[in-house]
This record gives sequence, C-alpha cells and structure tokens, in this order.
Amino acid sequence: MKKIKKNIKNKTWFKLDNAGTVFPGQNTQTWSNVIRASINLKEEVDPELLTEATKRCLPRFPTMAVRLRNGFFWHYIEKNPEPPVILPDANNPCRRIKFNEDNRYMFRIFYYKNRISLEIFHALTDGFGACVFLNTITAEYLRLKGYDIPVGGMVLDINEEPKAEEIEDSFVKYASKTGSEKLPLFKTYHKKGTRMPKHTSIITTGYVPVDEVKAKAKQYGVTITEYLAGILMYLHIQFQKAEGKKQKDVCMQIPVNSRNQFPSKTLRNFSVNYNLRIDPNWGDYTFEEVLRHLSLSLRLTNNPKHLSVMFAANLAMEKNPFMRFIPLFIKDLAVGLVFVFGAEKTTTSVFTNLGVAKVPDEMMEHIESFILMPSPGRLNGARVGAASIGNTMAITFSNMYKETDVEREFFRFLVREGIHVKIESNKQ
Amino acid sequence: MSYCVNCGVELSAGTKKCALCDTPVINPNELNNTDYTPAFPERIELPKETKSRFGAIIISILMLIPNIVCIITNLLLTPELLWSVYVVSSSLMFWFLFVFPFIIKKTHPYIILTVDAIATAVYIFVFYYLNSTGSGDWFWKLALPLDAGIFLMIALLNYYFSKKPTKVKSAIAILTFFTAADIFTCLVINLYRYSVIATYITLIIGVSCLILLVFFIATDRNKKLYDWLSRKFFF
Repeated sequence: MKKIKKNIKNKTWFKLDNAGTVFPGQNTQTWSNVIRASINLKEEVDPELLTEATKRCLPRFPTMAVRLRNGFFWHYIEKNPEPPVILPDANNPCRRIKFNEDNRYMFRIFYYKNRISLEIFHALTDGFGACVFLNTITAEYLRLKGYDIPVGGMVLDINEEPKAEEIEDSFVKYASKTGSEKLPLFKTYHKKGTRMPKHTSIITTGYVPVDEVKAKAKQYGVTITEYLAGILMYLHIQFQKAEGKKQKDVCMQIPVNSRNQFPSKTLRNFSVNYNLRIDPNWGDYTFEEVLRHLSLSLRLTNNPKHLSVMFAANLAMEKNPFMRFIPLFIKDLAVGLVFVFGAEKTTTSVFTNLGVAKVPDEMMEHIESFILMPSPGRLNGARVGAASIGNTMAITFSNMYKETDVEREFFRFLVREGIHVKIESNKQ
Repeated sequence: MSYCVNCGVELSAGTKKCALCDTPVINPNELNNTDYTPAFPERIELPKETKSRFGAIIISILMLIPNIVCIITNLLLTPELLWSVYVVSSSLMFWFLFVFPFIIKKTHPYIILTVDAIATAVYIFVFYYLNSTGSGDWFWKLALPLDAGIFLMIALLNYYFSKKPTKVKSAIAILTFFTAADIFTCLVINLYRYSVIATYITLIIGVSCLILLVFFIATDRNKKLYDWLSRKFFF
C-alpha cells in the first residue's frame, strides 16, 4: 500500500481513461465537450479566497491538476505546475477549451455574485467527479471564510493523500471479460432552429422543489430521472409531429453513473450513456405511455451485467493491437469524423441527472442551490442537466438555438402538473 | 415576486420579460423596482480566433524559400533555359488555390472563385507563352473559354446551392451542371479543332444526363408520378 501511495504522489503523468480518449479528438475551435457545475452560496464570493482554496485543493486531485499532451500513439495528461485559472463569469458559459490556453489547464473556475462555477473538459472526469472537485473547493473556500466545514459526502479531505482507487480507470477494472455488444446506430429526430452566434448559447435554469417532483413521479410509478426524461421525450415526439415531416425515432440519451452499480471510488470518467428510443410511427403516444416505455426500457437495460458489457465494447477499440499502433493524428481524425457522422446524429437530446449533491450539514447552511449542465450540443438543440441539494432541484437547459421552445414547453408542462418552477436565464 | 402570465413560472425579482416566452412582465406592485440581479453578467467572453491567417503566412514564407533558390540557381547555372518559371508558376498556382483563402480576412466564395479562375488562366498562359512558336492560338480559343466557362458554371451552381434547394432540385442542378459543362467543353474543342459546331461522342453523356434531368424535373413537378414511382419501386 505504501508503495502505491508513493507512486501516485510522484507520478508526473497519467493515461487518459477509456472514455476520456475520445474527447480530445472531438474538440474543435468552436466546440468542446465541457461539464459545468455551479454552487449558489448565500453570500457574495471573494475571488482571492477562491483562488487560494483552489490552489490548496489541487494536490488532492492529481488527475485534474494536469495539462494534455500528445504522445505518438495516445494523448496523455501530465502534472501542470502553473497556477489555476479563476475568472469572472461571463454571459456565455461552456466555451470551447483549447489545450494551450488558461495556463494549459483543462478546467476553469468562475465566480459571479454568490456563484462559484467549474467548467471541466470531459476527458478528465464525468459529472460526479466534477461535483466532488467543486464541492471540495467550495468547502475549503468556506473554511477560509472562517466557517467550520467537516469532511464527508462529496467533500474530500484535502490533507489526505490521493488514493489509488480515485485515479483508477474503472472501465478496465469492471469490463466484462467474455461478453460484448455492438452499439446500434440510428438516425434520429433533431429539433432545429436558428443557431446562436459562435461561442454563445442560451442557458435556462428552472428551480423546482424536490418533494413536489418526487411526489409527481411517484404518482406515475417512476423515478425522478424517468419522469423528467419522459417529459422531454414526449415533448420531442409532439414537436416532430407538428413539423409533419417523415417521423424519425426520438432517442433520449441518459448518462448513468456506474458508481451506483459497482464499488468504484474513481474520480475519473465512469459513466456510460443509455440511448432509449421510441418510434413515433407506431402511433400516437400519450404521456403515460411514453413514460412507461422509457421507464421500462431504462430498468431493463440498467444492470451491472449490461454496463460491464458496454465497458468491454468501448474498450475493444483501445485494446485492439492494430488500433493501438495507429499514430495519434490519424486516431484523432477518425474520432472527429465518427463524431460528425455518428454520435449526436443518433440521439435527439440528453438528460443527465446527478441526483443529490451530498455535502455535510454545516456546508448546507451556506448553499442555496447546486446546478449541473452539459455543454450545448452540435446537433442536439437543448441538452439538459439536473442536480439537487436540500429541497431544491435545478434543471438546466443549454441550447445552441435562439428558439427556446423545448425549455418553454418543458417548464410549462411542469407548471401544468402542479409543480412550482422558478426561472433564471442568461438571455439578454 | 412576479410570474409569467403565459408560462406560469416564477421569475427573478425585477425582471422585465419572461425568459421562456419573452412576454413583458408588468407587476403593478413593483413598477419602481430597479433591484434586478441578472443570473449571468452581460459581458460575452469570446475566445481568441484561430490563427489560420498566421499559419497561412508561415506557409507562404516557407514556399518562398525554394522558389528563390530555384530562380538564383537557374540564373547562375543555366541562364539560357528558363526552367525556374515552371516551378514559380506552379507554386503560385498552388498558393492561390490553397493558401490565399486563409490569408484574406473575409472569405467570399465569388472572390475566391474569380481569383482561382484568373490564377488558372495565368498558369496556363505561362505554358502557352513559353512553348508557343508563334503558330498556335490554343490559349485564346481553347484554354481561356474553357477556364472562364467552367468557373462561371461553378459560381452559378454555388449560388443555386446557397438557396438550400430540396434533394430533387439539387440533383437537377448537378445534372444540369454536368450536361452544360459537357456540351460546352465539346463545343469549344470542336470549334477550335475542326471549326464546326458539333458535340460527337460527348453528346452521349450529355443525352444521358438530359434524360435523367427530364425524369427528375417530371417527378419534382408531378406529385402523382412521384407517388406512383415510390409505390412501384419501393425497396
């Protein structure tokens, strides 16, 4: 154990995890796959203390305090000696990340009024890892403000050494040794509109009471994720029907945190996407039917065996000896092309739900709400992220189109269901 | 506390319009309320633009070096043979086609097409000038009309596609382009070579394209025919 600890502390470079290998190839001059997590505090943020808190936390997260480098065959990440980047927030979050900007860090921390936000490149971690990173920084920030914040939940002890299980590639550890599956590719419906200017998007957050949403979901016999994703799926079926063109499948992509199914403690990527489809050509669906379809599909597919087989399918490419020896620039080119001609073409929209951001009670007193959002898509009009803390759930849409029909109908739907919604937006 | 009358959602205090439907918010109790804190600042942070222009300038300088070397070598070692002209003109042609679009600040398709047409014509003219013995006039009667005609047709095609036509109309446009380019090329060659207005073998390609064209135009205009074809030949 001692040997492992010593290795992590002295390790200057890491391989990207299996999911992380594809993101640098998808990166363009105008778009990056970024996760944004924000915490609304009850008091205004002090940028100097935030910078200090971030500096103190970085050694605890060896796979975040890194810069991306190009090897001959693969990208890798190495320790970044530069100071982290803390910036005032702007109107256009989730801008592209360029690997030679922001002191070469692949995350940025923003402050605005009482909000601390973290934008992190998906190659480093998933939504869960981003939230642990942000919560630990915020806890340290509050400690610097003079509050006594203990460790627990999504707040790590920064005086501890990083642990081996936190930096492992859990995909490799838990991948099936025997089974594999081919991922089906279908062209699906996309709600289109007028594109926003480059590097900008419309962000709309709706705050809803968790108990009200939970009660409504329970009434339908589904979980909160299934209920909210079901609304999104139902709305897209209605949008497509109104357009009156050839009816394509509507496919909801639901990223699932695999840590719930496996005993992994990794802070790197460990989530996979379930693509749940419905064919509108089968007839007119009521909301209850859509909900039942989505709920049963998700429950049927979401089990450790299937996840393990999905990991194996994703790993097959990385393990293939022929693929391993292809030079990096060709791999990146291929990943970029696959992303353009596949990826988002196979999904209508994304709904990612972090669940409850668990923090110690002493920290809860200082937090108003917790927000998680994916970056705007390249084809998916509105992509949705949700997270809750206490009794407040924040549902955030990041939309690359000027038209906000999806958001409007989604929140109107919730209001019609008797749920109280409070709206915030970056719309000017 | 205000609510949107259209959406029924609560809005931030002091907000002037609903973020979902843009409906103005007029709360009689808060008419003088200026205490509005936007959720995001107004400032838009734009990342630095890509340095493609810088890269293009570097490539231009790199291309300049071997050309200068060629000119000096040519003048010093074989001043009687102007072989370096071929190297320089080929480099210039390459530069105008592939580097020039990245140098100019605003890329406009018609400006680039015009420049490309002129560059191609000048490139061919260099060969014509250096190799003609005073007998042929192939550049004026053959190369220049072909160059101008083909680039003009590409410009027209580009204009048509900028209107985002339907799939059938796109097929019609492409077939028209090939038919027109084919007939035009054949006419120019025959006029130059035999001084006759004829199309000979290339007419076969032209006629094939024309038949397809008629078919596409008919299916585009006649919905009954389109339905009948879809019914009979579905697979």
